[in-house]
Amino acid sequence: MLEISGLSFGYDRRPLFADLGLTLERGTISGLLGVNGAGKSTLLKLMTGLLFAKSGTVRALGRDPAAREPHFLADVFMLPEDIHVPNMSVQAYVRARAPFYAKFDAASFARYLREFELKDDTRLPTLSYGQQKKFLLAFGLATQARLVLLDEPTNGLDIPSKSLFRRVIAEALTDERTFVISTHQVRDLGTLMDPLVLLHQGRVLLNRTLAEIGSRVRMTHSVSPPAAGAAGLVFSEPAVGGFWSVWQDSSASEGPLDLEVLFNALVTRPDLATSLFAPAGGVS
Amino acid sequence: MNDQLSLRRLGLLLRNDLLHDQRAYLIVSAIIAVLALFGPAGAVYFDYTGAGFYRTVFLIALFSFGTITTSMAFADLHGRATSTAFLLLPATALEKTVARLLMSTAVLIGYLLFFTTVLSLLVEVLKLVAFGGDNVLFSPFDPVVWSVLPHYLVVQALFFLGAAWFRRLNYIKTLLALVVIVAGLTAFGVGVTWSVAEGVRFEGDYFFDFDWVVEALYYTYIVLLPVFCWFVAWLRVKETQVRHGV
Repeated sequence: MLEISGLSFGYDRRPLFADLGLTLERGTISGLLGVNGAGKSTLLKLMTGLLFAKSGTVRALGRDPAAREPHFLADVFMLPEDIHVPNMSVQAYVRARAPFYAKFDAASFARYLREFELKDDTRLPTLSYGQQKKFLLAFGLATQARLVLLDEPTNGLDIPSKSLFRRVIAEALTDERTFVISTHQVRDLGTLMDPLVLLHQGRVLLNRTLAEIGSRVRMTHSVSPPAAGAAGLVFSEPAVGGFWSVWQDSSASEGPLDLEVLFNALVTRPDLATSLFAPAGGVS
Repeated sequence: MNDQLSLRRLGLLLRNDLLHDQRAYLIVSAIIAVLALFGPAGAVYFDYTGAGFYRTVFLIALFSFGTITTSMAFADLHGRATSTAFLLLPATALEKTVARLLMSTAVLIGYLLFFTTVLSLLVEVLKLVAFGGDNVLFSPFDPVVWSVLPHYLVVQALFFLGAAWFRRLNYIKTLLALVVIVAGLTAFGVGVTWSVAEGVRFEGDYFFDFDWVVEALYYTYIVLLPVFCWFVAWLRVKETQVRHGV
């Protein structure tokens, strides 16, 4: 579905990615995580051909995104962080844009509008930022695009809209579809994203399913800090009401994961990404 | 037609742009209507009525509105928040360029010809009722108007290239670029003429036919220049990345 290999990219003389590789399977909702400036938005733009790689290959849906072929573009939807809606009504927007997408499903679009409590005679600029985002998401999902890229989709959404967003995305996932969600809001979307992809210092630090992570990592919350040097302890940080600790435990049975803690652990100690998921008997 | 230029997608792009720009067209129509309604009073004063008046209205509208809209043809391509939608719209760069080209040439000219004709009809009916006398309508087939259109296409092409090339203040930057280019060409021409003509004496039956040079320059101006500008604009659109707008 999406394959990147040997990707190099940078802005002006500032390199961002060097020899980056990533494979994402179809039928998944991948969570793209990383600190500010890690290149999450840039990677989404490279996946859609909005930016051109300096070297290496990017293949999405079997095509080179940089070619921006109409058939490819009709199968891709991207919701950027900085959204913009033209000065027209919902109806006019659909009349103008929907014919470009051969698989556009008007019935689905109407259903999404109802779910998001949007009216089709509303002028788009009069909608709030969150409503505009929901409108664009409704349109994007109705295009039936097989590759859907969402950049910070829950920014600007109120609390009910966030849970609605999670449900709508989960329902829209099919075996043929791939979602890539770039976000800082891991608590908003933690239950939705699987696998997790962590970008750090120009490379993919982690690309694992929740099952893989859960089978190797155990997390505990305690009032007092764990004893320094405790067997299996790889990371610990203060948290509300105590301490979160991350333990290497190859016999862990998919216990609860706090993605924010995992994220902090991996960013603080990037070597953990290798050591935690090394095959039994050594580091891969 | 082929993967790069599909008439269906081109039609969809034109419809998309028309739906998007309809407000601008309404505003310009209102301005022209006001000009045409109040203009006759001044035109009568200056004894400048009939077809000449509407021809002037049409040409002023064409060159002013035409160059302004053309210079904004790729505003969404250069906007930080708008470039994503433009670049991801399922059509090729060629189709997007041709659609914007048609919008600022054929569509705009056709619209202004139609609108000026209808407007002249309405204004002349009002004048007939109010004042009586002779009335002359605007003709969309006026040969004078059609003789000016190739020159509009040249001007349009220059602003079209400026629209694709510059990110902001396209109109002013295009004008400034034209001033610099014209000044440079003039200086070059004067310099060449000076150095070549120095010491040359035109005596006796000496005769050099400059007609072909003039003809070549005319076709370069009227055909090659617009085509070149449109072509370069297409290359620019094709190579644009979203960060150009950031």
